[in-house]
Amino acid sequence: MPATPIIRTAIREGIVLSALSLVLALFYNGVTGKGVFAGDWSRPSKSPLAAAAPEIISLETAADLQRSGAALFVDSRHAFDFRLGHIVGAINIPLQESDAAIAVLAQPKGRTIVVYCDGTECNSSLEVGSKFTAAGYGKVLVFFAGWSAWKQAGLPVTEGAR
Amino acid sequence: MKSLLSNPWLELATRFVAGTIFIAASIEKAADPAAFTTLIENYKILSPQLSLLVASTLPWVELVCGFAILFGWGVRGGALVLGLLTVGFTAAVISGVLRGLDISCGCYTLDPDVGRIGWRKVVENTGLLVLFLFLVYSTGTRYTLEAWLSSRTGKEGAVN
Repeated sequence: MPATPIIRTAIREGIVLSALSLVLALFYNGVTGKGVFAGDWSRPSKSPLAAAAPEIISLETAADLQRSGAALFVDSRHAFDFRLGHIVGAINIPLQESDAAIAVLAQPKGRTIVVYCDGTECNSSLEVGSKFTAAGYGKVLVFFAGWSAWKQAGLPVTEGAR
Repeated sequence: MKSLLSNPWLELATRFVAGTIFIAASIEKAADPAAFTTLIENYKILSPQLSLLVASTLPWVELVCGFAILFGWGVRGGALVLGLLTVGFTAAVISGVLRGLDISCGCYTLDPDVGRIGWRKVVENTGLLVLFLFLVYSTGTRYTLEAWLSSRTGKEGAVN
């Protein structure tokens, strides 16, 4: 198998294809004003996980924190889902209302906050968690496995609004 | 082994599978670099600026190389580039899994709830790597655009 000429061909073709791709990418993004041409190079990261990302905790850690009462549990799901069932002791702060709710929340900034939502199907726990961090709360944890894992594990739940 | 490498039907089928996968995977990401940037940032490997740069260009490389492989023009080059990229993607996924990140892969769709990273992704990517390795070394290039073009020019040359 003559490997070297084949690899040389592959490298040459690869360079041509990559160059073609870059031209197309520049053209498309330039024409539509997207991507590198969107003009927001210095924008803060939109990723809920980037930089000051809240720490993600396991079901066991969440259960320990709930049992000891050391943390305030925040349920970021919709109020309707919250009324149907939530972790004992949790308060409801849906993402849509989170800015106002966090602003008026009377909790010491050093208090441990555990945010959760449905589970891996939702990201609102991460986003609400980031908002708690941005609001100055020092210890914000995200229980990412969330409500579905909690319920499945048979841990304490309750119903109704709060 | 040698007959597998020179089988034009196997080459055609492999090109169809690998090319289609990457074309399908790239279109949505190419069209919305901002959303793709967020998915790259989630890996916490690249800075926001680099993520934006990668999100704006990478899908186009996938798209162009996908078409090159599907139609059979620069197959070896397309397979080499996509193969190297797949190695990079796999490294990112492994590092994400080892760091306990529960994030969307950003492999085939921008939907954050679909295709979360995990060892399954690593296995899938290993399968893709076998396809690309085959395409780099395969000599069964009878049904490629390149072969068709050169046969046409060959015939014209014979007439003249």
